[in-house]
Amino acid sequence: MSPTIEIKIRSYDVISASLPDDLRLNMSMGEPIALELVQGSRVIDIFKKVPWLGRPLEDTIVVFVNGEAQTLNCELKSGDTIDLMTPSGGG
Amino acid sequence: MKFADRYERQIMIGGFGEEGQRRLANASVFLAGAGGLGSPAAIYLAAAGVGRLRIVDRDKVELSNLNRQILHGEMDLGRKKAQSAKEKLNNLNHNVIIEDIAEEINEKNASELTDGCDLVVDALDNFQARYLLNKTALKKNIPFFHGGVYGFEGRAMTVIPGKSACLRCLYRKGAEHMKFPVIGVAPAVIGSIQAAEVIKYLVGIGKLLTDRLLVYDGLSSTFAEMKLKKNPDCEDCGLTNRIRANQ
Repeated sequence: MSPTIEIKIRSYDVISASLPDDLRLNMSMGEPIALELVQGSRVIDIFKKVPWLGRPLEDTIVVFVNGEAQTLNCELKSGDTIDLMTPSGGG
Repeated sequence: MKFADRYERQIMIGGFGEEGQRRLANASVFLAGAGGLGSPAAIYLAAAGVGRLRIVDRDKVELSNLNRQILHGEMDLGRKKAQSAKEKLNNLNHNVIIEDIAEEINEKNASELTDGCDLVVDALDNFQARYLLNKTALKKNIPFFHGGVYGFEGRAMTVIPGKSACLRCLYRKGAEHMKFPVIGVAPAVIGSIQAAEVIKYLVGIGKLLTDRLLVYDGLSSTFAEMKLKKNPDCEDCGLTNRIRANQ
């Protein structure tokens, strides 16, 4: 069995809105959700593992790993916190 | 009424002083939007005593605006937002020169509309105009104060041309313009933060939200800060920098 890593995900705006109710409520309480991935996984692999996050929306999705802007290609390590958001356009 | 009497309490703030107040009074602020973000931003900028506030908004007040656009009330339904805003802000602080312009911001008029202004406040509801003003501010070398909301959430960042990440560095492509869910307290928080950023910039105190995205989640009452990076290949600020370098 391949070694794994454990990461945490927080999502916002329309990404959160598309989640199942229980997950959305947990996330909106400020608590990220835990996810296990294969070692060497990248941010984009989150979307393959968790289909309810929808397609990666490469053009619009904004990714932060441990509070720093990264790309979908960023390699993850155990303990990383990933914040996923799309442009927030309301005013 | 003495200048110092009205603004006594902010003049007392360390690093602010009468010099800071004079800087506010000499400033000209371009406010794009008199809606959810624009209302609190305008109120606090006027209350603080900025010299001139140029408010541009093409829309009229609608019933569904009233849950959050606190410069407008039931008596303003059907009225131009820019005009409604001017009336309330004049009542708040007659010392502030308010220009109300009920026009759409577009490629043809963005530069002229922002002429003579020291900075741009993004209180818009669409990315087309946001990107246009981001680029305009970069070309004019004036700061751009971005805000955006969704539901109970909101975000804010400050752009200093040539120095920090711009809006396009953060969002390569904007969201489609659509009806969005929002509760009034979200733009209240973000619009106030934008006003605070403008005041800090003009007075020259504090630390700005440059290369930082402040994220507010009202449902959990938490703030998060994300670090941003200036993109050297940014189609907006990267290009502007290259043009300047070649001049």
